[in-house]
Amino acid sequence: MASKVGIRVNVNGTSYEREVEPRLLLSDFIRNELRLTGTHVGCEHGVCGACTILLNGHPVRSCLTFAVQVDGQDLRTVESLAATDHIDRRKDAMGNVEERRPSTDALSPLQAAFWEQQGLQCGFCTPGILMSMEAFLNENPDPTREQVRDVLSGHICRCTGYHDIVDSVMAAAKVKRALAEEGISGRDLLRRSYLAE
Amino acid sequence: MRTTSRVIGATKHIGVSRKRVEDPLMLMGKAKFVADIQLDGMLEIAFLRSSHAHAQISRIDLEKASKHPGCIKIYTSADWDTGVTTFQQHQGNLQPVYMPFFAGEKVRFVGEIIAAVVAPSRYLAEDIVDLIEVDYEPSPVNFDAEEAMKPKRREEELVHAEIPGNVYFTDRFEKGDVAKAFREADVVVKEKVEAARVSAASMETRGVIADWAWDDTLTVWSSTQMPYPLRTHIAHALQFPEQNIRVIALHVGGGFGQKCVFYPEEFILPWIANDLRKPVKWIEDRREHFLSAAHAKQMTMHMEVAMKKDGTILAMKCKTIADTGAYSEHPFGGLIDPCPGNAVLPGAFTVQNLQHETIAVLTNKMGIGPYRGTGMSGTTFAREMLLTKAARLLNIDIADIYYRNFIKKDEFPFLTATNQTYDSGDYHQVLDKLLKLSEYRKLKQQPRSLSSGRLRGVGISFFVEPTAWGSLAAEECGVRGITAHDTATVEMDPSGKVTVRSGQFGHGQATRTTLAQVAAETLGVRFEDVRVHEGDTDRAAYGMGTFASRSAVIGGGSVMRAASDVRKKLLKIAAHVMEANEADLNIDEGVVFVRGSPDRCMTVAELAHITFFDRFRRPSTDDVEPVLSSTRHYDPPLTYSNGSHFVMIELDPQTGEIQIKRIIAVEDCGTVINPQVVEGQMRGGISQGIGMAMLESLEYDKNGQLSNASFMDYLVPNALTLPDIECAHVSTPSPVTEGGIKGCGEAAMLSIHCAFGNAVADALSDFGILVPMSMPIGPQQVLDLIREAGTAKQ
Repeated sequence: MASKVGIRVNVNGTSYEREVEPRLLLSDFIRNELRLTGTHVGCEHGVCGACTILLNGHPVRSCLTFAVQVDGQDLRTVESLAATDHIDRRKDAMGNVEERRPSTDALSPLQAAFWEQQGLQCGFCTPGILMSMEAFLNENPDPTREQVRDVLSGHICRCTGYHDIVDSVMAAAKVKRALAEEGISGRDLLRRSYLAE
Repeated sequence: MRTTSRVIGATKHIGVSRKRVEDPLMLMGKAKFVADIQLDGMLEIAFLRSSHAHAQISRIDLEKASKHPGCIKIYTSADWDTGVTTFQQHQGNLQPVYMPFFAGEKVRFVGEIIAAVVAPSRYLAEDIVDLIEVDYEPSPVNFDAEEAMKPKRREEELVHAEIPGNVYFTDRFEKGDVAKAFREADVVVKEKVEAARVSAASMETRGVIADWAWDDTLTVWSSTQMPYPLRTHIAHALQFPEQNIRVIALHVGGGFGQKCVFYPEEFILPWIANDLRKPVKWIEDRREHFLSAAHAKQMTMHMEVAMKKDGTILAMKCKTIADTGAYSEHPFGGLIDPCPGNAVLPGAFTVQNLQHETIAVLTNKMGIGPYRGTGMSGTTFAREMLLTKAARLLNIDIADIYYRNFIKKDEFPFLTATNQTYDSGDYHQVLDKLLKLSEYRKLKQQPRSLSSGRLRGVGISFFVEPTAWGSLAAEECGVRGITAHDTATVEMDPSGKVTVRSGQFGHGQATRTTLAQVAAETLGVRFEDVRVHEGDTDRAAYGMGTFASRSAVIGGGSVMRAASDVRKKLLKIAAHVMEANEADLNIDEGVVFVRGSPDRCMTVAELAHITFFDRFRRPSTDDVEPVLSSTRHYDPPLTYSNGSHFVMIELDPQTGEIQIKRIIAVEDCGTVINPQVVEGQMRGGISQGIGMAMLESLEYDKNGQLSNASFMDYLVPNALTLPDIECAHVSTPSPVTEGGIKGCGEAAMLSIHCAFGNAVADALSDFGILVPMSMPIGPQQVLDLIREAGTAKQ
């Protein structure tokens, strides 16, 4: 067995230090060592895109990267998208406090749009697509459907036929643009809209 | 038995595009797929798989491998020499095909399991697999189904020595006077049509985790579509008490039928966990997936159609030879392609003279399993391409052939030429709608050749889809040996919230959402107050799982029945508590009220509390037992969805490249529970159907090696292959199922590829009558067709 190498990475704002074998794939490192299993592995040769993460803000295939290559760098995975400051309680129209449902209240505009437009079915390819689109919408806040399809063509989805994913990304772009104009963060808006619901 | 009335109360939840309750977890990366589960002390397994398609194994040497410091144990057939045999009750002359879990003396396809290596990590396990030495003595490979049927000189040349001629099932069916119809025909079209071998290739590969505990229980996580039947079969194969086994499939990343097979790994892992008393894990890699997860749809059809001048179909004949691979996959077997395939030959048409023949052949390839639309994809393609050709010969548009032969809406129930009983539909309305939306007639008048030099083609197709795969559906689709019913339990707890336990198991179909909609509707409670359990045999209810367009009908129907029982019981209690007449009470959004005087009301929560905890207010337990739950069974009669597809393509006659410009789908699946979910199924089916029509083919070479076992080489549609997909609906509720629901999942794979083929023929119509007769229709086939036309002219 090959000797291990020490690496330090920042993942979703948390710093981790681990000893890894040089042959350990970044995807396996994230999933097995850090136990962040939202990043999925669909093909292990960089075609399907399910394992896409952001490395210093840019999408990369974590199954084509070794863990030792990202020493000292900054990673983001799907787990970073939703807000972590959970809304514990919210009021319904009658003023009654509803049950604690943090899981659905904290989605980012992109995730919320996927939920609204059914941009997923089995959900396996979704984390990779979300990460690609997160980076893409930052670069191009006002894309055409063709441009979305072009980026999306780096991912394989067997369930949706892609149509609903394109709808989702277009809807998310619209919401994000509106937010930027108002100068409020996505989390503020979500919090407000859910409280008002 | 009479079905419950179609809609109880107002339709607040059925027919509404509820957001899917499954989604938030998956969007946040918190959903647990099998690969995401980590148990303490868990070991990993890698398999040594055969590198030969057909060979005797003369020696397996484990010495070097077992000396590796990471090696915990290696298992081969010497350790566990057992296997399974195809389900074969009530199925004509079907011969049992035995499949060992570990190949013993002989391997029959590339990818067959020879040994399992247990090690602390997958990396180490794969290192150790490479150290195992196997000596093979190759035998001739049965590569082509029609060749494989020819007599063999030596027993070793057969895939299975006990199955002479490599044929393990044949069937012949005839209705009407086919010979007479062919004598009287004005036009007869006869063709050999081929459908390629494809893979569902779900994004999540297969995977199994098994854990044995000291109370002698086995917990098995598997990426399967049918957790309960898997539990039963594991119990049988391992001789392990079934009540001590728990099978969990919480999230599954796509199945499409491919995970409706019980694979050797699903038995080997529990067996090893039991033997080692340690949790073990195996996650299939993509290469293993292409090699050893069930393939589908490879068939050759020798088909003939007899027609009159006016386009009336007089008769059809079809001899279907299915290349079902090395084993008849457990439990449905290789029959899953040719039998349903032949059964749907009449389609939407009144034709009553029909003859079909089924031959299931063993070859040295991976076995055939179900995949969305099963063999129906192949036979519908054959029928539609022959009709396309006949239409051109008769100079009638295919749309008019459809109209001439359609079953009319007042002719239901209609007994087809293959003895399927269609329950309902309005085919004319569906096709009218499609032609109008697509402006088909106008497009057909326009020239094919565009200014860009490309050729435009338009195609349509019409399908009738057998749905609600219960026992009757299976029988009407030619698979008699299957008894497939389901149960659901609906329980109300003391706080008035509702738990549904279903035998269905959604893996993308959103059954947790749609079944909650059905329960909320039937009971009259809020959607948010219903929780659905599925995919865990300790929590759900016994059922076959989700496949074959069955969950909406069978899951929905069983939930509807159970919820209706609970509602009746609750109303009986409410009548007593509220001192009202039971018949005057209604429930809406969790409130029970007296019709006409809504101020006399109580919440369901109050009533549930009284039922459980207030013996002074609730009725005597002799009258009504204070149990707010019901478990009901449903094995529905077969119900048939229908619909139609339109495809517009542009074809480059220089390169053969095809671009799809527009797709429209019109579908009638009866009562729609959740339109967004149905459209998701329509679009997803179209995507896979287009893959099958123009891209996908698993290519075995003559030595039985699979040459495209990766997503680099096995092409599936991406976002640029497909245009936006327009959907429209027609609804004729089924008169025979609970709630009028019909299934919808597989529809596109009975039709979209035919519309595509039809569009290719249309684009090429300036060259002559050129109709593609094999799938996938890639650039090469297009160029061959054009070349053929050129040589024919000279």
